[in-house]
Amino acid sequence: MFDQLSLNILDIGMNSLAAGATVVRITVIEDVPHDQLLIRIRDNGRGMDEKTLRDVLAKNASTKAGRKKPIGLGLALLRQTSEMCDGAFRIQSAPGKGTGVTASMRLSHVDRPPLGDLNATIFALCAVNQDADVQLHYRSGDQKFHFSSQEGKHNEPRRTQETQGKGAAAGCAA
Amino acid sequence: MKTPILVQLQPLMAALRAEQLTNNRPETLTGCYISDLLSDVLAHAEPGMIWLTIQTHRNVVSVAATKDIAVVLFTCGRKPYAEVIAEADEEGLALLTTPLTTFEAAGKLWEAGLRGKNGHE
Repeated sequence: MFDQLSLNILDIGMNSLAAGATVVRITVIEDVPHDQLLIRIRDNGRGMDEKTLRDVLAKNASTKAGRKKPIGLGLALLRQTSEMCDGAFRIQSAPGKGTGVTASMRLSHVDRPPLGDLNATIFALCAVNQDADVQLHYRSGDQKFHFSSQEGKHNEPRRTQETQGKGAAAGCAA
Repeated sequence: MKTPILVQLQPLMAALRAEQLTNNRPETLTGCYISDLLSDVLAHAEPGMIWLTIQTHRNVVSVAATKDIAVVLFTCGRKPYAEVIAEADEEGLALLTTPLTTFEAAGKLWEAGLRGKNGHE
């Protein structure tokens, strides 16, 4: 457990990037009428084989295999938080097919950590791999927010050559 | 960094009204850390310490093993599931439980001479 859910997201997003993902899609939905918070992190990284996935789920954070490195502890911590807050945790992964992690929790649960600084999490992920497309899809009631770190980037380079100043500025903003 | 003051665990068992859950139990403790937030324990606990918590999730064993914590003391009479105890035994970690609250148990440990991080008072 981290004291902010955004740290869980950062941790898992970092794993996505470490797994070679070029797209990391983070979805956060605050559903007040249903008293649910949903967090999903989906990537197109190399994914996990059945054994690794089983270890992550069943053995949690096994510290075996020589080095005392908490492999998979991040997922284990999010799972614990999710289950502690009356939610569910799911992970889907296959080699070459990326990984998807979904954690829900009861929004009003007293032990539910605050979301925390989601901006800083997205910023950090963008900084770690500037070529990857880090996306945030946030929804709370009627409010929606979408962000993609590559938005405009693919179209901009061509325009950059035509109108240099403008293109460069747009590149920075992205 | 101060040399930690080593405190014998055996004489403390009665004062703590502690029940031993695992087969293994260390002789001595180097200090104590208290937190129910696992990432906080990862950041601050030191090897050989006794960790007081009300969390009984299996992640407690993973965190304790990662930080080479000697003993986890569950307070307020909390007990983890049998699988968690088995995992602790595998990792060579000792688990205890006490009916005392965290504050009360911490008081007993302090009285016995146990101190915190880097032996700080």
